[in-house]
Amino acid sequence: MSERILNIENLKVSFDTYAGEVEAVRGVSFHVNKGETLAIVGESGCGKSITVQSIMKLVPMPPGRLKEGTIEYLSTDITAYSDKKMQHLRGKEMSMIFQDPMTSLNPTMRIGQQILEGVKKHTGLKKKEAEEQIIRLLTDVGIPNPDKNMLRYPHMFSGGMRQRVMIAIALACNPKILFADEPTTALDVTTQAQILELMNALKEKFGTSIVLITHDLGIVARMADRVAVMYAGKIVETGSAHDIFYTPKHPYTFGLLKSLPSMDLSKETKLEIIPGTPASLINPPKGCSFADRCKYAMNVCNRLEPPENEISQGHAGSCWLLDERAPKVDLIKGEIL
Amino acid sequence: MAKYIVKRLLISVITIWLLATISFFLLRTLPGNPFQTNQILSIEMQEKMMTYYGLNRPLLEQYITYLSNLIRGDMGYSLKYTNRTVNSIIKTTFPISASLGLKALALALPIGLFLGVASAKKRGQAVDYACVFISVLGVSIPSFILGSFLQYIFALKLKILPMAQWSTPLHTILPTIALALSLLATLTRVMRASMLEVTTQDYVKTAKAKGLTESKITWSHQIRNAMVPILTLLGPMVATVLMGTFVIEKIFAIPGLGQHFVNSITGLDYTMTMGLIVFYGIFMVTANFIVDIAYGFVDPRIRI
Repeated sequence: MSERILNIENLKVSFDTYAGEVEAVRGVSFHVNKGETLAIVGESGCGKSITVQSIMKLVPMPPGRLKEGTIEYLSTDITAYSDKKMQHLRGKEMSMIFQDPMTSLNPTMRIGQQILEGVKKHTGLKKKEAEEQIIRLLTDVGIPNPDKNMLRYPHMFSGGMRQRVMIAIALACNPKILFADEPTTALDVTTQAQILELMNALKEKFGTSIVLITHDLGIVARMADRVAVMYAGKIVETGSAHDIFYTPKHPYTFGLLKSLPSMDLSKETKLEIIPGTPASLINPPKGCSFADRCKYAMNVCNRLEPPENEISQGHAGSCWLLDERAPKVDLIKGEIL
Repeated sequence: MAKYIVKRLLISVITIWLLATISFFLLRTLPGNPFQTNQILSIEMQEKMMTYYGLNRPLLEQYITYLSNLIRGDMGYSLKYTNRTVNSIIKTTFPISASLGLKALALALPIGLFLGVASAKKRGQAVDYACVFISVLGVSIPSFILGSFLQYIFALKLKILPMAQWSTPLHTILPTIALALSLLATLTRVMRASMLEVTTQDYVKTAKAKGLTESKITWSHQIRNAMVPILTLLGPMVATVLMGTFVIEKIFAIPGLGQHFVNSITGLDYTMTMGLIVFYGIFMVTANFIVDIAYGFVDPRIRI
């Protein structure tokens, strides 16, 4: 078994707002092994970003609040780490790239300096060595003329280039784990492909584990070793990329896959959609949060939360249909057998 | 850059010309003439004075005369202060107002920015409430109340500072404080709001994700970005403050420029009013020009 870098158990994060407590993350457990890419998939507002941001403790608290759960990094419990202790982990052991490269770089600071800050903080390199390191990093992420470009400001770069700079910042101290929060959502498709390729190449080169947040299943297919599907603050199904794409067991996962446009569909066929909207996280439903939108919903679904059922090695889903007492359902045909 | 400056200079000249023209004609729509106000002069005498100063000639002719003199830097004689040119009045009173204004700014700027930053960093805590309290106080207490209050405490009761007038450096302390408080209040308020806005920016999160300490993030990522609104505010603020303030100069009996802004208009002193408007206008345009250049130093995106 490969080395576990990160282990999250029953993580619960809430926000206290005037409207009430928003339960953004409601008991999420997952782990990340060395050198693998875990994709967290789900629609907007399902708690993906909050999950990873609370691991790095980037969620402002208050209004945010870590209610429950443990975060283990390299078998060390870091759940209760102070901000000061976290500063030694952030950027050095774990880093993050954000969704919008247009806003995630400081507009008034040269990009070289922005990379240098982290390097200086964590490695204590001399100025000369640090500069060489920056040039090497910028070369690695594919920025041409790094010695000149490191003196330029973010607004002089395109979105794709800025995201490359962000990746350079994130990888500056060779972290063991990289959280990528929708790193290509704000980029056009060709740039997207380049950035993903770059991330894959760097992962191979440095052996970094990646936690990739996305709602784009195409990216998941391309990047992920394992996938966790999130819905309304919970992981509803998790498994290898193969499991999720070929033998999805949760109706939500299946719905997601079905709503993908495909080349095989004729022009007349309407794209499948999942009717309804995600459950409110202010007063989350007592039972399964997907029950309202699920065409297989049974009485039990509205009353009790489904437990996690192991389907096969490493593949698990939280759905009452997976219970042995439940009727067998053919998700492809949409029939109850 | 050179092209930009030339363009800006041209626009500035046009602005000043428009300002002078509009105020020249507006001023003449006020009822009455400069010689019928405070002294009792006979109608014939008034007529004579009007003819003497050329105020009876067609308005357009007067305008052209005024403008051609103005271009040569001659703003004419004051109609009220006999035998004194507008230039010489400004020359003697402006340095006093400007020195008071600069002192107040030198006091208010660092303190205001510091309080703004401190208050934003400690949002919702006691420090924040204290800073907000000071700034609300500074904005809402009129300067004549604050001025008299300072005089009462420090001059009348404690007898440690002079009551009024403008001679030794000791005399400048009270008016400086009185003037600085409202400036400080505005600066604190704007800096606080600006810092809070910057705090929610994505790049602050990036900086945090790099593992930087809180103080490092504030220093190298937030303050510089938060300075842009301060610069915008600072241009007109400096111009206004250096021009003097009527109320504070009145209370502390300071022979500054401020009083003339009010007196020249109520006395229908055409040349003096025009002179002040044009002088103020030039000052304001220059201050804004400097601010526009300074933006570039703070934010490379607006560098010309």
